[in-house]
Amino acid sequence: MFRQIDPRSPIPLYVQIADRIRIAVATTELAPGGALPSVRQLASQLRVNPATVVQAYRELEEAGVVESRQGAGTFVRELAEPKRDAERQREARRLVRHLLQNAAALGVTRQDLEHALKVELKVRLA
Amino acid sequence: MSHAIETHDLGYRAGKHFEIRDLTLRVREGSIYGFLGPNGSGKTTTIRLLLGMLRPIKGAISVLGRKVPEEMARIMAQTGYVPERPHLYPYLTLEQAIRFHAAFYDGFDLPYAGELRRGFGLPLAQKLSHLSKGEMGKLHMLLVLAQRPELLVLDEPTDGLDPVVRRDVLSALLDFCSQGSATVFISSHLVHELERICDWVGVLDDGKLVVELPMQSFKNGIKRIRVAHAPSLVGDTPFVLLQRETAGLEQVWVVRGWQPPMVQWFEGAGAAVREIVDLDLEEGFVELLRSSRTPTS
Amino acid sequence: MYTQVLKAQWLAARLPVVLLTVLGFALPLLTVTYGGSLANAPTDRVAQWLYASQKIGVLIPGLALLVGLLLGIGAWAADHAGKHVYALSLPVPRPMYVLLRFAAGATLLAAPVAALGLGSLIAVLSVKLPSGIHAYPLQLTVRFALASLVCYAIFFAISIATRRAALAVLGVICGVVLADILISSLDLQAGAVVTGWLFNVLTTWPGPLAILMGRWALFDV
Repeated sequence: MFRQIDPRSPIPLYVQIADRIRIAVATTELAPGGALPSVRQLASQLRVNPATVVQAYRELEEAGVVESRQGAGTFVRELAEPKRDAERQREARRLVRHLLQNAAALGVTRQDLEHALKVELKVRLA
Repeated sequence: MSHAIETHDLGYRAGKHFEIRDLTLRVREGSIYGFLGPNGSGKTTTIRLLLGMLRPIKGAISVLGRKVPEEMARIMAQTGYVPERPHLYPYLTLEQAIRFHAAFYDGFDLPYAGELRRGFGLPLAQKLSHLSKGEMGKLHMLLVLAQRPELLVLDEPTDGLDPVVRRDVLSALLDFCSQGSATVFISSHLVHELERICDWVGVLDDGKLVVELPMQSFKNGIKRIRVAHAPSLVGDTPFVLLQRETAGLEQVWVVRGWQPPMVQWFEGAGAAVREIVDLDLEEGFVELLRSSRTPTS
Repeated sequence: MYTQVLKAQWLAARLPVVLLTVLGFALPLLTVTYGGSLANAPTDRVAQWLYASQKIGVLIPGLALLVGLLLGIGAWAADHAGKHVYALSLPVPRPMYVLLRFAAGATLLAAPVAALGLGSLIAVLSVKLPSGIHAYPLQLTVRFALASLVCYAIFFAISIATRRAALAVLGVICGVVLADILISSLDLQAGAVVTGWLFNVLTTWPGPLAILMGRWALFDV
């Protein structure tokens, strides 16, 4: 779930961590009601400042993705089915936005993108 | 806001040149403060001054709210120090070294030390002189963490260690930090390592503190900007201009303290911002140093 | 803290301490064997024992000097190697740490002293002395203990200084000794006065080395 977060990226670490958790929740890799790793565990595992993990969890809590229970830890909120769909769709939009940003930076045109999409999707579905 | 480490106008000289000049740094309690600087900038000297091993020519130092060097023993009782070079007694075995160290610290946590030792895979009966560099690095970290100190002062703790050992050492450090509210003052030239764990950064160059900011501000604030129709004379800027280079018809400016609304300044000066590039900590650090050494025209 | 410092010092100085202890034990016994080996006529027995006692006795202050040297220098060897960084980073005021090291070394000193005491006792019990000769095992041991302590303190103090300063002091001492030898061999009156005076200052009470002078003998009148 937390493959190489990139400290060099301009995206703050806590945002990167929160994003990964969001994705894990959307794909149900992290089940609703399931526990997130403790701050201590995650900070040590990712080798980041514990304050960073705390910030990520806090952001997720404010966004309603997780909830923290006094003394027990942080848990994924039980989202109703439609809410999870909405989350997935939001995620999809974000992915596409990223893709478009990167493409723009690299000078990849719309046509190139559309072509690539067709090729890749064909391969996937095959 | 109390500070775990505070210096005021610190000055030190050994020989003709001033090694440390007008150093005023403040390390907030509970923060992980990264002390960056090129080799020879005076990082180790500063640390030695902080821990009362060198006497400053001028200035004041307080650590954990106590004066240095008057209350050194009480300060060191709450401080874990990992120096640049190995300093333990080489003829002791690991077990003997741990017990020796434990005898000097009231709150030394022997079970925790044992836990760390097993986690690090260190052999109890091995003489320190026979330990590899990696094992020695792990032992240093073990000893200071088991003290359960309020302050950790680490001078290049992962220098010369292979990536696997570095991970283990940093994981243990961060695990300890998560358990309480210890302050960590860590000097390193491994910028990327500091980038992930520090929430504050202080940059030392040639004995002077060039910058002291929260890590995020420092990183976010340093940008490389491509400017078209740049003004030839630059007066007051809302940001700090570090570098200015001509690249064809445009100029590339490296600035510090950038915030998005500052684009308006360029517009007001008749210039146009073509591109704003984020710099990671290492690039920002390099640009900062380049600029502090050469005057910008 | 003291226990650990003592343990660390013992681990560093194991070999010298054992060596010195063996020597301390051996010297009195040597006196007896040497004395016994001198086959003299019964009337000369007194002289025989006095001779043996003094002959070997001269070595005892030498041993005290050796004890002081090895344990005094050895006390700081490990710290010197690490440039004292470890000791300075411990939460103990410097004077206290110095005291701990001194006490640890002095404790180790007890071993050769006890050995000399034991050896003297055994030596005394194993011979039947002719009348007119008395044995002084206790006095000898106490004197040895004091002499060792003095020498230890001197070398300990020298050794605390930086390596360069310590070597300088030792160099000066050697230089003075060599100069003295040279001067006396050349029979230069003027020179002898200087070194002679220095020697007197150091070795006559209250000079620090006074305790090493005089007759050292297990058996005496």
